[in-house]
Amino acid sequence: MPPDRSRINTLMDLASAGDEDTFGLLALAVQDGLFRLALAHGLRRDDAAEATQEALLRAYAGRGKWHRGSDAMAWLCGILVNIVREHHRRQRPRGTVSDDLARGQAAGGGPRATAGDDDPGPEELRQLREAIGRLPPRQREAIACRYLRGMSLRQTAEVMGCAEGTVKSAASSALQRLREILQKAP
Amino acid sequence: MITGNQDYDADDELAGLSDGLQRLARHLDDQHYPGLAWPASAPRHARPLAWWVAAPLAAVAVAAVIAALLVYHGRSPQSPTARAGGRTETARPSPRSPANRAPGEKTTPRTAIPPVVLVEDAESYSFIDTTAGTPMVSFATKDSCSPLCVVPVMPESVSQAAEGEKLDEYQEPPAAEGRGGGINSGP
Repeated sequence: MPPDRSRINTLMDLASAGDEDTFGLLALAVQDGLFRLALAHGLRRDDAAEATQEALLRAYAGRGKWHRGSDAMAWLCGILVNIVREHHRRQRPRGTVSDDLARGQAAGGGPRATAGDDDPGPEELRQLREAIGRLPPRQREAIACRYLRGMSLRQTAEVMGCAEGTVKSAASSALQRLREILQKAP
Repeated sequence: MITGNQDYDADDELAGLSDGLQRLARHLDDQHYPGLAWPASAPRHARPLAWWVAAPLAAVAVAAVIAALLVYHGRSPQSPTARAGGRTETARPSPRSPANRAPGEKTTPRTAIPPVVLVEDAESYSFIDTTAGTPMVSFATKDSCSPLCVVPVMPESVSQAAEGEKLDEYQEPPAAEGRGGGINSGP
């Protein structure tokens, strides 16, 4: 059961006022959501876990900057998306789960041989994740937030730090690009 | 979390992708964070605010009790024997202490008795020497100025002297003894 947004906002209110225990409760409430969002952006499980921890650390350090009344979950997701961007820039030679899957498939060892404990799911899901991983960063973020995590247009724009029109454009382009990739896939 | 996935079928752009995206979204929903993302969710070491309020108050209370005990025992010291016997030795004020004195009563300062007192009467002098342990009384007639007798003042003699018997019966010792001993007697 997903945590109530109003409860998350209340916890964030208290945490921003300096209550460390409340921030622990907030972390418990949002850690799964942040972890899934990191996975949706193409990170492997261990990298997604690290990104989640880093996002919570940054949120704790910058909890005083959070504005009361705004969406706390969107704020936290925005922090995570920034970390994911940094991760992709820093780990580009290492690649993402789709790169691992592609390398494993080329080596004939199957996707799980290189993906570690990451579970890509059935074959069609693996292909879809691989296709999402090939998207440009903005388009990948739009697909991950809008269609894989079910955020609204406004929430996606807030997380990505752009206008709603930009999100619409990026999502449309991403879907068209995904369709092309999947049609080319065997 | 911000879930409640989109209505994929309502968007024409999702044609051919809605099924796969929904399945991938459900697959992500099944994922869970491996462990605890925040150490504060583990047993915490930070003390609550109430502790910081209660601890100084408790320290002050303990210090006050210790101070009260010290003051109480400092005012009424008990001897070891009294403590051993379970008796409490209280300081009793003397009848002449300021506590028992009448409001208008004046205190007279004590005058120290000089060690040697000369008492003169019509015919003789009496020297009362209290420098030694036992008071000594010497008598001398006014015409001779030589001590004729040195008598230690004993309790009995004091009482007799008070009655005026001993001094009245005093007689010069006979000079035939030749002991001399007078302060003016030469060898």
